[in-house]
Amino acid sequence: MQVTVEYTAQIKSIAGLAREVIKLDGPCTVADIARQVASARGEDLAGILLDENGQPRPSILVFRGEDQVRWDDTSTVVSDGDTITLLSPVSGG
Amino acid sequence: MAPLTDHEKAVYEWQIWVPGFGEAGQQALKDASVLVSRVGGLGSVVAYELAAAGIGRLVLAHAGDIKPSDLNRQLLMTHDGLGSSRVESAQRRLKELNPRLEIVAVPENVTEENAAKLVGEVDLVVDCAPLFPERFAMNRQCIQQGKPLVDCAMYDCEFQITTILPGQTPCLECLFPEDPPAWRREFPVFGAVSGTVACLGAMEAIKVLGDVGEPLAGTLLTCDLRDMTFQRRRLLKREDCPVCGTSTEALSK
Ligand SMILES: [Zn+2]
Repeated sequence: MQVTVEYTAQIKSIAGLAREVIKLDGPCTVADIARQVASARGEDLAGILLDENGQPRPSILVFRGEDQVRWDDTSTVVSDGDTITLLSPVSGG
Repeated sequence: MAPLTDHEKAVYEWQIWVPGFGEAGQQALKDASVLVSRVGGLGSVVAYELAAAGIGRLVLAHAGDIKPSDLNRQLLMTHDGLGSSRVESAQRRLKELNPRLEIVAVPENVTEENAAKLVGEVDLVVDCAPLFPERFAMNRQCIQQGKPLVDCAMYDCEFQITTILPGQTPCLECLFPEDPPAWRREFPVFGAVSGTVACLGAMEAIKVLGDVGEPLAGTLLTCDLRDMTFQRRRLLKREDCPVCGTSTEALSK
């Protein structure tokens, strides 16, 4: 199965792209997606998405389609064709 | 509060025509007071639109003097004012547009120390601060004092905006339970991007105060002006939020 991962703001500039389609072996959680793109795209992206214990940072917001999903939500399963957005916190004025 | 004068009815005639707003909405704006925290790229335009719309009183908080790098977006600052106070320049420009407007110019940024007093002076806050600790200080006070908070922010060609209604919607700390380590103070910005989200922020304030339309309550509008993608996203409240949460764990903090 495959899902589209979207990046915004500073996450987008560190990832070097706005969105990508990734392949998954099977159903997974939003936290699994964050860990997968972090390991695929290298240290800089990993550092912004994950804390020292490899857990998603709570200040990065994640959405499945239009709906925010809690990082520790294991009941929301990402399925084929979903769009997952990793939203960078921004505060510019 | 003083009723609308004939002069005010003439000035605001074309917006009084907006269905659902009318003279009652205009009177509500006249009676209202709004804190705009920092009058930079975002806050300058928020303040200008609110001044144009006939808000009765603005509290403007922004430290420092005008620098050359302010002038690409901070539209209440002028070339002639380089080196002089930002809030004084903002006050002067707003008064040129609307001499009836009452302005409290505070030459300080919002801090933990002054937030309670500044939020206490107004009916609604538009948050345009470039640092999360300033935003968190306003969020806490708005929740405690039951005041609506329009939270708008940008980066590069992207922006985010939501309206926080205490007791009804998630608050800023529901979204960001820590000072985001990813955020850097210096950011790429066109004035047209900060100005776009500023107009949306001013409109949210007008909607809440004038009781017209539907504010972005519990909804985050995100936009990328590079490709003109606009998206509405539903936000989650955090029951254990230390600021607005209702769980026993949150209440004991
Ligand atoms: Zn909260």
